[in-house]
Amino acid sequence: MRAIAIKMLFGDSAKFYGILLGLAFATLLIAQQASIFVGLMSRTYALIEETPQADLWVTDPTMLFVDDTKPMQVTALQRVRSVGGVKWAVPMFKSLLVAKLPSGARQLCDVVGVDDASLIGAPAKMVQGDTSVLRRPDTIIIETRGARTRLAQPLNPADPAGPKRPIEVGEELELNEKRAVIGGIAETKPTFQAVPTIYTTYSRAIGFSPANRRTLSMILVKADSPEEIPALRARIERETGLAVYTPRDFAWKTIDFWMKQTGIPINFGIAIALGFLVGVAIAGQMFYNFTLDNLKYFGAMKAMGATTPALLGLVALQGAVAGALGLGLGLGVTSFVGLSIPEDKLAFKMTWHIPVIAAGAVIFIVVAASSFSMRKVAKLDPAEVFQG
Amino acid sequence: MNWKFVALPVLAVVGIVAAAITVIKQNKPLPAPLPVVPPVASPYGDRVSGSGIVEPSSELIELGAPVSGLIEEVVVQEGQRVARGEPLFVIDRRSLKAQLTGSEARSAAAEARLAQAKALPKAETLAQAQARADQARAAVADAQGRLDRLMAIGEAGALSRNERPTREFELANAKARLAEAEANLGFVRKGTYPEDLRVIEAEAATARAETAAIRTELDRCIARAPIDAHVLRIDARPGQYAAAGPGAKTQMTLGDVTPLHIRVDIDERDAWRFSDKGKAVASLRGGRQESYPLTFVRRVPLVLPKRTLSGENAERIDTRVLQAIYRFDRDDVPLAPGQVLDVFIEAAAVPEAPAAAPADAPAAPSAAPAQGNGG
Repeated sequence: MRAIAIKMLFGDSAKFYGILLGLAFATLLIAQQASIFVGLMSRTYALIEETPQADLWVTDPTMLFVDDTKPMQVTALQRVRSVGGVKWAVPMFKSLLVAKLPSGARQLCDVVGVDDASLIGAPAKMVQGDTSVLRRPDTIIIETRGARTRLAQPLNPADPAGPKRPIEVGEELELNEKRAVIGGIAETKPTFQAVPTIYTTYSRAIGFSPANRRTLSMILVKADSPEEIPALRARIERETGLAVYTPRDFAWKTIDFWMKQTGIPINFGIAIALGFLVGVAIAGQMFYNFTLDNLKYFGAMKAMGATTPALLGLVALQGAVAGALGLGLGLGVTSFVGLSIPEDKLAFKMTWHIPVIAAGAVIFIVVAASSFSMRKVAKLDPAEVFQG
Repeated sequence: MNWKFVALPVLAVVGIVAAAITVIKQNKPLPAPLPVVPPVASPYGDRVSGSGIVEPSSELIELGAPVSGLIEEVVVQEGQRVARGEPLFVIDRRSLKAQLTGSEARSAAAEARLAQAKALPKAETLAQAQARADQARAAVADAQGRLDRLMAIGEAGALSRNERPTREFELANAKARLAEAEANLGFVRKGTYPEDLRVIEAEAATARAETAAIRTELDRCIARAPIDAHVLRIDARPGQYAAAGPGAKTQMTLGDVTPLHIRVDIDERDAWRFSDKGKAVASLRGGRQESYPLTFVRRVPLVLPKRTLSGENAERIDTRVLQAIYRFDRDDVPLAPGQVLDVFIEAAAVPEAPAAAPADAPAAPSAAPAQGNGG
């Protein structure tokens, strides 16, 4: 009898594909938009993700998100180092500076200054050179995206607007009239603000930046033992009066800021809601129509002695099969899109929550649609079928 | 019709698998790159941390030019050990040397004049005056004789009446000449009068003093080592103009590097925890994971604004720091003055939250304005 139900479902091609398409499309919209939203948001804390060595991040208490650098007093580093339970603490500088490119064009860049000695905070994945190039004088590391796009140089120097080539190792930028030689190129996660990132040492970064009294943007802290992190966090906060975050909290603080300060969550929320409505409208409607069209077969089965619960089971099975297929196709297309478009072109990050939420939405649509259908089947009088 | 039963579920399963792969792939935590050099870690559980700058035990002696002028010669080399008083560099002395020649000549002249004055009376002049006196005495005797002889002849003759006043007059004249000659003899015999001699002596002393002053000026053109020390840096080059006076450029930096000291800056808000009893250790910042034990020497009683040496022209003052000075236990530390190290000093544990609250409370308001002004 189950085979009949499946045949019934697959048999009506137009309606079957309609249902499938509706569900797949709803899944696609929900999963895709949610993934892009998460991807976009995950870009806001790329720096935190890129620096997994730190157990804790110490910042000025008024700092709102990771790019909002409110420099601290230089001695804050020593004060953090004075706190018991700190294995090590290293400084990090972060600021937006204007770079003058070899072509003469100017480009705003995000300059990250990492600890001179340990180079903690320098990018992990180097494409050209390695992080130790930062030991050379005036050296910086750029990232592939910046090299290809914003920092790219015209092929013909006489024609700055003409075709461009990526900037290369060995070329020189100028940061505040100071020479900065590209020593290496790294591959890093795209950032939300989409300005090229320049990595250099802390002391050199200070030299590049205009004279500020305070230069210490952030302090990266490693705990003596991982179990001690929450206690250490409280201790640093108490002893120094600075704000201390775990990488996760810092990332969430950053996400929170962008969610509250921009229309991004509303935009994506609307898109996701639309996907859901499309699912309900198309797939639900089709499924109901499909049941109505096949009412005569249900009637026949009822007349042949099938009980109502058995028939309802068939409807549920049809719904489940359609839902599973639709969900699978939708997630497949979403994943295909997400995996095939490069990371820097499309902000896309699928966390485990997204397929689960998509599945939840599909289940809801299927349950809602089939419950209407079930009512029709349950009320069905076999005599009606034969009258028609 | 059959393909649908296979293809669609397969596609759906592929889709779900793809989603699972995507989730796994995109949520892998990034691998932590190995640090090039492990960051400095503290050997003490409860400690105060500060940054320290290596300095000579004498502190840095920044020598300026003693006088303004062109640098004539740089006598020492960087790294050389110099004894106290040893010449380091010399400022152009040509004009002073010329002045000295003139002054020395003047002095010699004054001395000669003095010698001359002291040499009076000259024997010849004295003999001459004596002779003149003798001559005058002889003339008196002669005149007296003639008068006496005339008187012996008698007073009757008319001739004698005419002769006598003449002879008497000659005698008086001769006596007056004698008096003059004797006065002259007395004057000559006396030589230089003491008043005149004092004037001449004073002139000679002035000339001598002038010469000595020029000699001192000449000596001031030579910069000398104030203590036994090492030459750490030379900015003086022959031919450069060196200005003297407040704010003048440092020409040479000296310091006694045996033993080396380290000056540790401790944030004012951690200063209360600092104890000179605690063990201390200094660690190199980059390259090598070496640390050097330290011994407490003294602390600077005055809390100073921190100077952040940023490599910029402008120095930035951010906060105030307590400075403590430590000595390296080992003499052979491979460090040089000016190097910056991370220093950890054993300290009392910070009291836990409830106890800390009252202790923090009075500190907070005083710290806040300092933080705001930032020095």
